Amino acid sequence: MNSLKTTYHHIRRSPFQSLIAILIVTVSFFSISAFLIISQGMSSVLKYVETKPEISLYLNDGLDKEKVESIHQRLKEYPEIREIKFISKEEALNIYKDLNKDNPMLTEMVSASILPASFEVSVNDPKTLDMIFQDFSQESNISDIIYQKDLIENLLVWTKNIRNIGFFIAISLAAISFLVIFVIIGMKITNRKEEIKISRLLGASKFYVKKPFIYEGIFYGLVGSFVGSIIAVIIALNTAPHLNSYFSPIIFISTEFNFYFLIMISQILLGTMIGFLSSFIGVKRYTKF
Amino acid sequence: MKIKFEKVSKNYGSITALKNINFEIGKGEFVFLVGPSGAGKSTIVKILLNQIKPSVGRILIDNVDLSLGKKYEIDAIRVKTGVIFQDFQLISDKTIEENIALNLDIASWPQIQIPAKIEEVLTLTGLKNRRHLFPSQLSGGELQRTALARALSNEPELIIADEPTGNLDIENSWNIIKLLKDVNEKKKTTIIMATHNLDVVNSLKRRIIYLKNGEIQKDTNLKIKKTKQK
Repeated sequence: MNSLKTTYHHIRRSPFQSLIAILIVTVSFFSISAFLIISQGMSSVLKYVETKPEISLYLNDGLDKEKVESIHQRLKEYPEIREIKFISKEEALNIYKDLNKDNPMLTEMVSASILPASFEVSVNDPKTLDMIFQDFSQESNISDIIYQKDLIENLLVWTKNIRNIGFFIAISLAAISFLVIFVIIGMKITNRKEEIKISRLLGASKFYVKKPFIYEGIFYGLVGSFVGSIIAVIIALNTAPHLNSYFSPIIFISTEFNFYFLIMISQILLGTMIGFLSSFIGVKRYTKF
Repeated sequence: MKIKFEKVSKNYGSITALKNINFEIGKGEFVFLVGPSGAGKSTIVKILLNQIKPSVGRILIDNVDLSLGKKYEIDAIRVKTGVIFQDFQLISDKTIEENIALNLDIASWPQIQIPAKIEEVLTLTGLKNRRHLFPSQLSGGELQRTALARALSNEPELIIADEPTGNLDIENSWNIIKLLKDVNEKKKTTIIMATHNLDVVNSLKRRIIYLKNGEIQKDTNLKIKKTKQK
């Protein structure tokens, strides 16, 4: 009878305690995995918005090439400019047609002449956006400025809050898993005091009697984290087509194998570590020889 | 295994359980610890098992001082010792077979040899058909034999038996004594048996240490030695 058999014996003798430990760890790791997947989705949204033209300057009709070029040159002089893209009237019409390709009525009634030409400017530093907005808002050659400052700021705040709350919840759930395994191992040691005492009388070393309990904690952490994260991954992959079409063109739920592989591996490692640490400390705390 | 008690005393508060105990037991000896209740037999057994420490004096087993020895040395001595406890000390939620297997596992027996060894000791003690039962399903005599089977299983160098015939009828008592005698003679296992059973003690004609009120009243070994010296 080796230590693994003894661990199996312990689990079999008090299955409900073991089930509770596994369930709590499963729920914790399901939540942590779900948070990681959602957090990744939020990052995708933010990244998408950040990489889009963040300020659009719509030009008045009838501007000659020199004036357009002069605006272009002025825009180039701002710091932290990532990209300046000129959208002509014809290009604007193409974009419009592409966006409304499913509705021919809308495309038939529109011609290039009624759509304004524009500059789409993306920047590295949001402060530049303010400067462009201030400088060009009174410009007579500019008919309109669309500035996504509020949207980005709100998105940043939301992403940050979700990450902070998620991190707090993840830490709390990991702590709960730790405590549950710690307490259940403690209860099992108390229940098996007689066995420990007899084993010691027969010459078992301290490590010999501790080992099955440590294995038990590792088992709870390993199984709970595996089941919790695999459930989260299965749900994510099943809901991905619906959510991604809703957020299109943003890929809110990743469908990359590597992403889920990393989640699974990191969760299983974390779960095993929690199982090991909680049972190790539990064994130290509850076994007095 | 060689055992040496040097000026050992044990006090429980104001009560003295052992007073200046001195004796030496050589390898392969069979020694009875005899005396009325409260004489100190169980205290000697507990000290030998390192369950309690002496108040004064020292105990050497194979030259390892039980009070000063390192933990792994004490564990190693325990592994080489088979014990038949008065209250059996069997694990209640393990079967007879599992209880014996645990002892063998602790003694680091190769896993592959464990089933055969269990079979051997169960046959020896007549418990073959009880192997899958739990201690609560056995009679007093069967429990005693299970404790004996476990003690014999890892082929110990020392067997300490605390009232091993206490729960047995005459026939079973003699069977157990015969088994212990055989082990002692064939394998040169040192045996220390604490008992009330004077029939057994007198019939076996082995060394006897008489205890009373925590003191050695008589040690037949010393008598023999003194006779030889004269």
